[in-house]
Amino acid sequence: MMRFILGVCSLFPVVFGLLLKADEPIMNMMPRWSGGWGYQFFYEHRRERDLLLGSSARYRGFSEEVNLFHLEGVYTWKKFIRLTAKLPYVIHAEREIPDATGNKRVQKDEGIGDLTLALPLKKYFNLDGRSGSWTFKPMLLVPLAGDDEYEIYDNEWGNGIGLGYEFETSQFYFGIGTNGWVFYGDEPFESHSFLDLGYNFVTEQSNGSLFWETDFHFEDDESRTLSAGPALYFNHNDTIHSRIEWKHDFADHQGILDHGNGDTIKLGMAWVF
Amino acid sequence: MKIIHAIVLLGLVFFSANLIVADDDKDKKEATPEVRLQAAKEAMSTHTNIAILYVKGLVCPSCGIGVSKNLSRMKGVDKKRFKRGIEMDVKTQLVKIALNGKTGLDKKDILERVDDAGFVAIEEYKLHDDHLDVHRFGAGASTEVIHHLKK
Repeated sequence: MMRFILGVCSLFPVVFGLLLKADEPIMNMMPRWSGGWGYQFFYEHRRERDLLLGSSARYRGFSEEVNLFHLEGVYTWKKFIRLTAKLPYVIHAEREIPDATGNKRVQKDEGIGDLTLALPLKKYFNLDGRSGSWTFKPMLLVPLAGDDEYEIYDNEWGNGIGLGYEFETSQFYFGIGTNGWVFYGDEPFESHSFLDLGYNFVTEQSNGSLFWETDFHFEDDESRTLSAGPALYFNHNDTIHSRIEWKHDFADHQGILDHGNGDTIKLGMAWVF
Repeated sequence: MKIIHAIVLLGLVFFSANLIVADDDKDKKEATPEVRLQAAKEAMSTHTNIAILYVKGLVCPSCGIGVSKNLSRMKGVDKKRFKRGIEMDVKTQLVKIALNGKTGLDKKDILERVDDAGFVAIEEYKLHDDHLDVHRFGAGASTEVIHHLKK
């Protein structure tokens, strides 16, 4: 009976959203100068292995696989104020959920996602041997996603606020931040927090950073996910930048029936002028 | 699963330890004036017709890209040398600017462009006959010679 109820519940439009990212273009670092602008693309592949309720796999092997293409842009008026826009496109998303008899039912989603606009306000500081910034960031989520069998993006208006602090030395990077979102619909409040630690390296012609990034995602329905993993950023020639990252869900608790225990891979390329 | 958790923990400890240890690490501090002066002298003897700036806080290559881009667009910069005319050294906080003429660069413009990139230009190193002068920027782009050394 429980299995039947869970199966029916899973047909409701529950939250299957991906993490609303705190990261901003370009690679969250640039441009730091007036009139600077840039754009970046990245491909994201995410696979979640099980359908969870609480911390346990209610339906083991009922997976979700998502392939996304992100287009993001940034413009810096003055060094302390930027406008960023992030538009995802669902190349292909497919999830397995239980039908009324507990067997697998496949649902798919494709097409444009919701647009995120942000206005990061920065306060820079330069101390002895370190340079960094504080960030305050109001955000707006604009619903553009269409209707499919299920939705990666929730197609709802939302408002968010983000706070961040970061600094770099010649060798190390430290970044910490959090943001919170409220929605004009059924979606619960959610927050996304991150702690990024990095090691900077210099090559003969350029430079890069190796990061260990930890993310914590919380939704006000008892859902919480702790994911972490390495990332590599490389500055090719001050104009072209690339980044690759992998994150693994190390702790996943779903307040409602949802997919979890996932891995995410991202490959990004950016241009800044 | 326990192994994976252990790897995560080790990763965090490794990176955190580096940050904590870095408090006592000389690399975390800016170069001393003596080190900068020595680096400037070496650069002046290696390269001809360049300007050298000390930019406070210029310790990370990626966050200094704006400095490079802004200075590169100045009139009088020889973009064929260095990286579009600019070479930054995050170990000494010195920025080398390749010049294509003998007239030098407009000081006010330099200060504004560095400031616009989120940093502060503190000093300019100049060759004066066979001497190396260190000019400290003051209010209104005025300068004061604080060192006068034989090259």
